[in-house]
Amino acid sequence: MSSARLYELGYLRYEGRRTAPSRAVLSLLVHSFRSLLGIRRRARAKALPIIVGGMAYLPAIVFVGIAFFLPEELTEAVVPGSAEYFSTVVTPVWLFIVLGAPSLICPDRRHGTLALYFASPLDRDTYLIAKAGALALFLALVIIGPGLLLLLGLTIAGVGTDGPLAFLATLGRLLGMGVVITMMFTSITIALASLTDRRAAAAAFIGLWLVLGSSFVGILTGPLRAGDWIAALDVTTVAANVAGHIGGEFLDQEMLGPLATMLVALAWVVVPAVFARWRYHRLAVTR
Amino acid sequence: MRVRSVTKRWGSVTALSEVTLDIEPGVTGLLGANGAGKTTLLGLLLGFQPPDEGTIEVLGRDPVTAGPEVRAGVGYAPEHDPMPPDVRAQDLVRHIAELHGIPRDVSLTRASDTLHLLGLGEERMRQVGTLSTGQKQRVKMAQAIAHDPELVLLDEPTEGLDPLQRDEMLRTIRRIGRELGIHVVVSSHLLGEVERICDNVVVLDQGTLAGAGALSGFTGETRSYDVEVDGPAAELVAGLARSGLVVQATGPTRFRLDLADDAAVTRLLDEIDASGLGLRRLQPLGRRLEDVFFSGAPS
Repeated sequence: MSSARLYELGYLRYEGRRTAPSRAVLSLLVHSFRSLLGIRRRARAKALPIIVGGMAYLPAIVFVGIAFFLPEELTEAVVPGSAEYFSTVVTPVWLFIVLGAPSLICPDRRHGTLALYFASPLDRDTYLIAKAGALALFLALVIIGPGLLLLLGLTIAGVGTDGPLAFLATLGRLLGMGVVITMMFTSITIALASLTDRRAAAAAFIGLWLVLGSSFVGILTGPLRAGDWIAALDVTTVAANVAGHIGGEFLDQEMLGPLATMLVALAWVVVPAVFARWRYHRLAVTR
Repeated sequence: MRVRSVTKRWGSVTALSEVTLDIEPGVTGLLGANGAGKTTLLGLLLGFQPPDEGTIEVLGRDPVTAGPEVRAGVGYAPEHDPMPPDVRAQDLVRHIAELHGIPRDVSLTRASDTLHLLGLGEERMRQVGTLSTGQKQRVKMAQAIAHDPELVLLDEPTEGLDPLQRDEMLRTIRRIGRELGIHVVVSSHLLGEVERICDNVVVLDQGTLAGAGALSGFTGETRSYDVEVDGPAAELVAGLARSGLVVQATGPTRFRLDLADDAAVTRLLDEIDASGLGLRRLQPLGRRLEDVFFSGAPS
C-alpha cells in the first residue's frame, strides 16, 4: 500500500494565525532595512552599503589590530577614542545619506507604491516611522558600530578604559552620542527626501544642504567672524559638538555650549520630522 | 459597507456630494464615467482621507478612526501601476501580504499560490518592471488577495488589457467573488464588464449617486412593452400619444409603449379595440445597464 498522500495545492482561504495590524510597522521597517542593505536586490544596490560599511569599519579594525600588536604608548598616540572616531565616519555617513537614503522613500512616491502601503494597516505616520527607523538602524550601524568595535577591541587589548565602571561610562556616552547624531541625520534626510519623488533630486538636495551648510558656517565664523551660534545652522558641526559634549572627546573648536548643543540637536531632530510629517499628510494618494 | 451623506471636496471641486448608499455582500460594480467620483469613494472606504461631511462604515468599522483594523481585512488594487519595477513579483506580493498580517513563515507560500491562481508561474520570479501589462495587472490583483481579505476593492482592473486579457481578468474577478467568497467592489466605466460579473451596482454621476441596487433591478423587466398589431400602427400610435401615454413607433406595425400602471394597460387595449386592429404581441422589454446609464438610473 502506497504511503503517498495528495495535498491540496493552490490558493485557499487562509485560516491560520494573523499578526496584529501594529506589526505592519515592524514588517515595513525590516523590509526597508534589508532593501538599504541591498538584500534581494541587484548587485549594484549592494555596492553602496558595502563601500560605506568598509569606510566606517576598516579603520576601526586596523586600529584594533594596532592595539594588539603595538606597544601601549604608541597605541594611545595613534588610536583615537571611541567617540573621537566619529570624525572618521562622517564621510561614509554623508555618502550614504546622499546616495543611498533617497532610495528609501522617493521610489514609493514615484511608482505610486504609497497607495499599496496606505491601503495596508499602515498610515502616513506609521509609514514614516518605519522608513525613518530603517534609515536610523543603518546609520546607527555606521555611526555607533565602529566606535563600539573600537571600544571593545581596545578593552580586550588592555589599552582601553580603566575598569568596568569607566567602560560602562564610555559605552553610555558612545551610545548617547550615537543615538542623538543618528536621529539628527535621519530626520533631516527624510525631510529633504520628502521634497521630491526623484532620487537624483533628493540626493542633490541632501548633498547641497550638507556642503552648503558646512561652507556657509565656515565662511561666516571664519573670515566674516560671525558669532559661534551660526554653527547651529550646520548639522555636521552640531553633530561634532554632540560628539564632543556627550562623547567626552576633545573638540577642535567648541562652538556651542553643552546645553545649546543639546537644544540645537533636538531642534534638528524635531523640526525636520514635523516638516516631513506635514509633507506626507498633504499627499493625495487617490483623487 | 454603509456610506451616509458623504461629501468630499478637493479644493473647489466637489468629488462626491451627499452620497448615501449601502454596498451589499457579493460582487458590486462601481459604475460611472471618468471623474464621476469612483476613485475618491474607494479612497474614502480605505480611509486614505476623511470625508468632509458624512460617515462611512466598512466591515463594521469607521475607516477614519479604525483605519489599520479596517485595512487589515481589505485588499486594494489601484487604477495605476503601483509596483516598484526592480522588485520580483513574488517578493512584492509576499511583502504586502505580511503588512496585512500574514506571518513571514507562510507569506512566501501564500504569495506563490496566489500568483499561480492568477496564472503566473515562472514569471513570478521576474522583476515587475520586466512583465507585460497583463502580467502586471495580475500581480496587482495578487497583492490585493494574497492575505485573504474579506473585501477587495479593484479600481479599473481591466485598464490597458487587450480583449483576451480583459476576458480572463473578468473571469478571475468573478471567481474571487463567487468561488472564494471574497466580497468585491470593482470600479469601471465599462458597462459590459459590470453586467458580466456583478451582483450589485452603484452608479455615480458627477459625484452624486445616480442609482444603487441589485443588477437585476437595473437590467430586469421594466414597464416598457414592445407592441405589435396586425396592421398599420400609425393611427393607433397617434391616438395613444393623444391619450397621454409615452409611445414610440419602432416599425410599420410595431411600437414601444411605457405602461405606468394597470389603467394604462386597459387604455391600450381599448385603443386597439377601437382601431379595429388585432394584437399580435405585447412583450415586456428588458433593459441593459447601458440604457440605465445613459437615461438616468432609478434610485
